[in-house]
Amino acid sequence: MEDPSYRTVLLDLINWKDERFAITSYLSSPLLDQSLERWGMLAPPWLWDTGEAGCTIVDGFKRLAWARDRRLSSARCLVFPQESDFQRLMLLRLETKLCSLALNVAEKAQVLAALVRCALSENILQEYLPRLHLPARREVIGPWCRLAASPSRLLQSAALGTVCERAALVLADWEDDARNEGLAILEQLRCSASIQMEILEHVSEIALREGKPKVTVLTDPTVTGLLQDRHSNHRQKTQALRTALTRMRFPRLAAREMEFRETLARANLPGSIRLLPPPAFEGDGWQLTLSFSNPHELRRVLPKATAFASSPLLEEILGKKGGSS
Amino acid sequence: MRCTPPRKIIVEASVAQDPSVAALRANLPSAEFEVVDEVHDTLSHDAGLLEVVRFRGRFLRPCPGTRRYHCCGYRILHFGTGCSLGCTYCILQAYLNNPNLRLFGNTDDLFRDLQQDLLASPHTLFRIGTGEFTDSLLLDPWTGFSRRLVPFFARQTNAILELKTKTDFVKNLEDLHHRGRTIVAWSLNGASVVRGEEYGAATLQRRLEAARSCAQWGYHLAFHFDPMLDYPGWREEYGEVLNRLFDTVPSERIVWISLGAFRFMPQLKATIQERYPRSPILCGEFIKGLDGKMRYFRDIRVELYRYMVERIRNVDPTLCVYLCMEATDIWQEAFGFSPERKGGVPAMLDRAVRERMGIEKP
Repeated sequence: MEDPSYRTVLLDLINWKDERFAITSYLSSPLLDQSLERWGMLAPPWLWDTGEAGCTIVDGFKRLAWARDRRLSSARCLVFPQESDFQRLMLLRLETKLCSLALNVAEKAQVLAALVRCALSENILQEYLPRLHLPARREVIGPWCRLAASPSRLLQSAALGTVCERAALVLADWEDDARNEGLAILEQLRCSASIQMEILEHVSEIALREGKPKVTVLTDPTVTGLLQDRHSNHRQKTQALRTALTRMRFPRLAAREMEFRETLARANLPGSIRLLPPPAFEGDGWQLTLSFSNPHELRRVLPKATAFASSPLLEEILGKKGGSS
Repeated sequence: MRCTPPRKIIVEASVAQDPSVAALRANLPSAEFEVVDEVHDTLSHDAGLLEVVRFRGRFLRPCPGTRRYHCCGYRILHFGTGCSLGCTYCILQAYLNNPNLRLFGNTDDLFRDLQQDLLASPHTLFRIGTGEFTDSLLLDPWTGFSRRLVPFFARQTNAILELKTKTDFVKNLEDLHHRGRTIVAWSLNGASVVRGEEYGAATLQRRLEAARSCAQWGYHLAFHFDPMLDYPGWREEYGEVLNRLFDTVPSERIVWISLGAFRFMPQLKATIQERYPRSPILCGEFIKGLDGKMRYFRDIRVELYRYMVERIRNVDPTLCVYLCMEATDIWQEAFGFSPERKGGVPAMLDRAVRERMGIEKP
């Protein structure tokens, strides 16, 4: 490949529709905009002279777009000759991306997908995955490539951080309708990464268990109803959604919890006495807590606790249904 | 069954003269053999590879039960690791460091250590199984290991052997002198679980036919409904398996039936999801158990067990049925009694050995 040369290129010669080298950040770049306004283009964009078709942008899409918007007629560029190899050019382009500031999730996905097309798989595993801060395992590549191929809406949300990296990777594998619906919900709720994952995991597992599409779970009237509630803010909606999905994911556990609460309510215990079941009712570690602020209060509450300990309701709550031991 | 014989066998030089290696060479004439100084652990899985290594640990060890749940007191004869049956739920996927099939080639050490352990506790009845870290009979057609193991146990006075399998590889057992001291056991499951989650194992019919053959050869039998899964139609399917079981083998030949609902270490979830993304087995109502493993919410386990216990009792009320790794409250609700009332699970199983196999505790 012949060496590239610095040339002043007429912007009219650029083929703006050729985006083979584009790696979209999906983010605005105020710092770059300010710099361009103040100093103009400090680093020349890269072009590939493709002969009669004009020049293809290799690197510097934002800079050249700025020049076009400013109605500049030409720009100083580093021009690669026509006989340059596409894959090699792409690798050079990716190298500049990898050396730049931290890539956002969308850029990372696009860079890895482009590397898969241009670089040897051994190099991807040994060199590029670590540089992208990804585990050097073959199975990591597929999900990221699928994310790179996802609709721009998902990539944009991932770039903005509206959906976390793991959630974006999960959503990339979902069917179109479920992905759109799931994305809309996460964008609306603006919840933490762990809660995003909890929501998506519950939806997937409910759908798989019940043999229905994920979008059916996401558009269940219970779900849509609470998301449309005008009286709740996004935090309240998040909590309501988590509760609803947990009930759908664990219906029998939820029913048992409800039954526990209803039976306990019949005991009419004062607020200072609390009965706590073992987590998920597993094992026999029940707790009864008494709250008091002075000996007099304790003396008042103790007989009530003792009476409760002898009541058939407690037996019922503890669920001793199997007969005598 | 989709299980195929090993294609390549890597043998550590120090065990190359072991009878098990000689058997492999004789029974797998077309397999590639490679002798190396040491077989190293690897992360890459090769279903056609068998590694034969020298094992330097204890061959006989207690079942890794946990304090919070009742254990049967079974002991494991550790003769190899890994399994190529490819059951989606298999705990070995998360349990072992090495993904390939591995046999311990120093079998003379194994028999010597085992004999020493048995002699060291002459008044203990050892219930010993080989099916904890691998399937007991998966490689038996090629290693012929059962042909040495079963006669060894026939000579013992304080031990019985349980071979646990999902295969129908019982041919080697046919003419062995077992003296009624070997139990051949099968893991059973509902028809759709066998089809969808145990795709490399023998069909139910072949497992039951193999069990019938073993019963005809005078062996005692055991069955393990473990892992039981909660899915639509489980009652009908597990009920049907029990019907077929009791239609195929005489219940008096069965020493025990164990029940265990699906449970798994949390780290297994990601492995199953990655390998079997369409499997619904992780979509049950799992909670974290007292031992840190994920288990079905207790009411579901009780329902599974109660149903099975009732069905089995209807056929043979004296047949020993036990729960694998469950707490007292679950026993209480499933059986109406706690294990302590029967002296504990190990005592229940010792009693079954006495009553069904005619073997007294020494």
